[in-house]
Amino acid sequence: MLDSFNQTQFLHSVITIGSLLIFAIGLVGVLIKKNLFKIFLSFAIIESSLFIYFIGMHFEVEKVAPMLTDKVTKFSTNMTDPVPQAMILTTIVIGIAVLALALSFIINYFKLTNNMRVDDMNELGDEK
Amino acid sequence: MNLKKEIRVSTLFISLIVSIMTILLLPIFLDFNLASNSLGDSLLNINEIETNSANGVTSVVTYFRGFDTLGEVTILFLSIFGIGLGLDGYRDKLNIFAYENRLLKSSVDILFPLIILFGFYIIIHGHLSPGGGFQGGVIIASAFLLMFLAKGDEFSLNHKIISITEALSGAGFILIGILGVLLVDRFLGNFLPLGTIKELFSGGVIPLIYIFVGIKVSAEITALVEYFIRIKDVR
Amino acid sequence: MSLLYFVILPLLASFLTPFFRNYLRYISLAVNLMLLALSFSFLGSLPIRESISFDSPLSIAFVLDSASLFFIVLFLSIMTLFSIYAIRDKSRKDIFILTNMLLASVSGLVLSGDIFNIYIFFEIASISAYILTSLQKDKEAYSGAIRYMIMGAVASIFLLIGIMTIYLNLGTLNLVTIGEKFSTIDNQIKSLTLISLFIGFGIKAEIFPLNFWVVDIYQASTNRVNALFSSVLSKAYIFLFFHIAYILGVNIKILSFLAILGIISFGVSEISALSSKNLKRVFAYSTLGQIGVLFIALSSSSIVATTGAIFLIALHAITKLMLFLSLDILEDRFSSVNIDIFKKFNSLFLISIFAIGFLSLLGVPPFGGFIAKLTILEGLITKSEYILVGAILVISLIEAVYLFKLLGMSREAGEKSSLDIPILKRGVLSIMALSIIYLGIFPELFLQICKSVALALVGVDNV
Repeated sequence: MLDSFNQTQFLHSVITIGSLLIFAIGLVGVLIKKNLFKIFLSFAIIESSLFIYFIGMHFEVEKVAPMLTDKVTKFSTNMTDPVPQAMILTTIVIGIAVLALALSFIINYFKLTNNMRVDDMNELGDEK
Repeated sequence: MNLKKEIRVSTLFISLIVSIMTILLLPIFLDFNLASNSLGDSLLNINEIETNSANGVTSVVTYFRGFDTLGEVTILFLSIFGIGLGLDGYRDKLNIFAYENRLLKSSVDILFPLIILFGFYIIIHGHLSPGGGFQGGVIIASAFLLMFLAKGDEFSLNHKIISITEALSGAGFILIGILGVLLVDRFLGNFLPLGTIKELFSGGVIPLIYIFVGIKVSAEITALVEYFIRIKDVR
Repeated sequence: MSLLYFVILPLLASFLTPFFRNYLRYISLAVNLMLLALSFSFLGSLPIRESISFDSPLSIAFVLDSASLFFIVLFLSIMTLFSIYAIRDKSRKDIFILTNMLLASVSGLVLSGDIFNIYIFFEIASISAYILTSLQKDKEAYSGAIRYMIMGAVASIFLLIGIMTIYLNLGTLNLVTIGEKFSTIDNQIKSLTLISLFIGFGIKAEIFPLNFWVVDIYQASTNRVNALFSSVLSKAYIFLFFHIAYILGVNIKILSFLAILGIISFGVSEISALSSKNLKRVFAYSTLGQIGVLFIALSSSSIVATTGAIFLIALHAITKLMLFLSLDILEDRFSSVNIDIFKKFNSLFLISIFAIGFLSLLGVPPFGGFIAKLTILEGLITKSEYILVGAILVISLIEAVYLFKLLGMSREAGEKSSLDIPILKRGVLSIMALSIIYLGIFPELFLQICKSVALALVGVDNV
């Protein structure tokens, strides 16, 4: 009975609904939360949902990983697409680099002003 | 004990709008039709002739789209540089994350070289099995994290060696590219012999590129770990 | 001679920094001059297409046509002038690592012909900008840097959504192939992709609804960094926005929507500049206004107006560099950027530099800004856009109000102190002022160059 779930269309629907839900959760986090660190973590959640969507949509049920092993001896079109995997590798690293840089700025800002809330950041703006 | 949590009106309003937008977007995404012949399939067809590497993803990351990997390495370098500019008082701060645990302290001396050896194995065999420079580099950095957690203030890094390692491996990556321009007339072109598939010495420039990337990533993430661990004055 | 040297040599200079920390300024200047010479050597053989790693339509391609060459020469010249200005300042050696990265990423943005590669260079430029904003290490700088990172993260997420939908539907990442196949996507997905790319590129190109954060960033960073943001970064992102727009084949409705956004942007920025008392913010509002004019001109589908826009891009880059570097001299002397420091200084040289800059921004003859605005208005008239022409003239009057007010404040009587400007900085500022005057009096050759750039940008079959 479970074999009827092992079809490409069903898997694609599950991945679409799941990643849209995670995107929505991250988006609500960005818009609502006031703590600076939680805002950047919500951005990381949004990016994770995009990665899951992109890799998941390229998967089809009979395909194998694009590398040669003892059972797979030549490259053929029966393998999943390696380009999205390479793109997502790169994007994950970019995501951590930006998150680490943001965290260091937040630490330095907190040391100078003792403030971690985004609506109390009022140093910039026109003086009257 | 009062366990009620206050929920602001704006929170409910924004959640409602986001849920409505998600439900409206769902039908668009549910009937997607994907492209039939994409870039990846064509690259897999020429993979055997061009690179002789057994791992399709590695040959895409380092060779077919090697320029993106150069950009990614640059982004990591810039980010660590930016963190170092701000958090540069680390030399006289204390490490507060050390654990006083007998098992950890006695096992870390055996585990540290083994984890580094495992990391190098993953870096070097990137073109034969899943793995590669980024993955192995992070494993090596996790070995250093273990040492920080176990040894506390007795363990500290020599940042001069780390910055020289970073500089040399980054320059090494670019030099392989420039050698490609000079010898084969294409940036990052393949100028080493291709060897036979599934051997360690195969794949042309691919293992070399991944070794440079692996050393650079491990040096950078280790420096990142130390910058963030020594921040005692924050509290 | 490979096209990649424009990207690789500044990158190599930044990577090898631990070996020559004290000489980095001189090495950066040498790299800029070498690359300028290299770019002039490509003049006769355009267009050039160079592929990376292997020779096939499947590889990443770097394309040099007249538009890319123009922008590369512009960015290299601005970086050279900036390096000469800052070369004697021993307290800020670290800025050169970041300016080299900025130069490498901006050259890559302009040259690359592959959309994921453009995303990578976009991220390198963004991270350099974040670190440049926070260089002062005080609380305004970190506050500005955090805000910039939040907006930058939003832009990068939308850009990723756009790139992912393009690859899922078309299966290719090469810009030329995307341009050919883009119309085969069905309409709902196409509008989703266009909206995501518009928000992603538009946040960085600073067009109307998405530019509420820009002025705070200019207030948070130092004046030299503002000079680089205003003359190099914003121009690169505007070029990228329209390059992608013309490749994806936008139709007339979208172009008129962009023109409306441009005129609203121009109006709102100039009106906000009237009430501001902080000189950095005034100049930032002026930059946003000129970006609005550029959007109107570049989306008007008239070659004359696009030629004027390219002329304005070059001229505005030189003008803003000159104005922000002069403001840097004033801030060093008075430690404040409030609007009344204009009453306090007594240097004829600096007043004439400010006057040349302001008059060129307004579009008064015989300065270069006059030719630029005249060409743009000519082009709009040939397309019968009389409302836009009238609106630009009215809003320029508002611009004149605050610029003349500033010039008037410097002629007021009162206690004034003299300024001591070193010869090197005087030289750099004079070169920029003289080139603005030269382009105003003898514009013909430069207009010819701008016309070929405009034809290359729009794509000759779209004319």
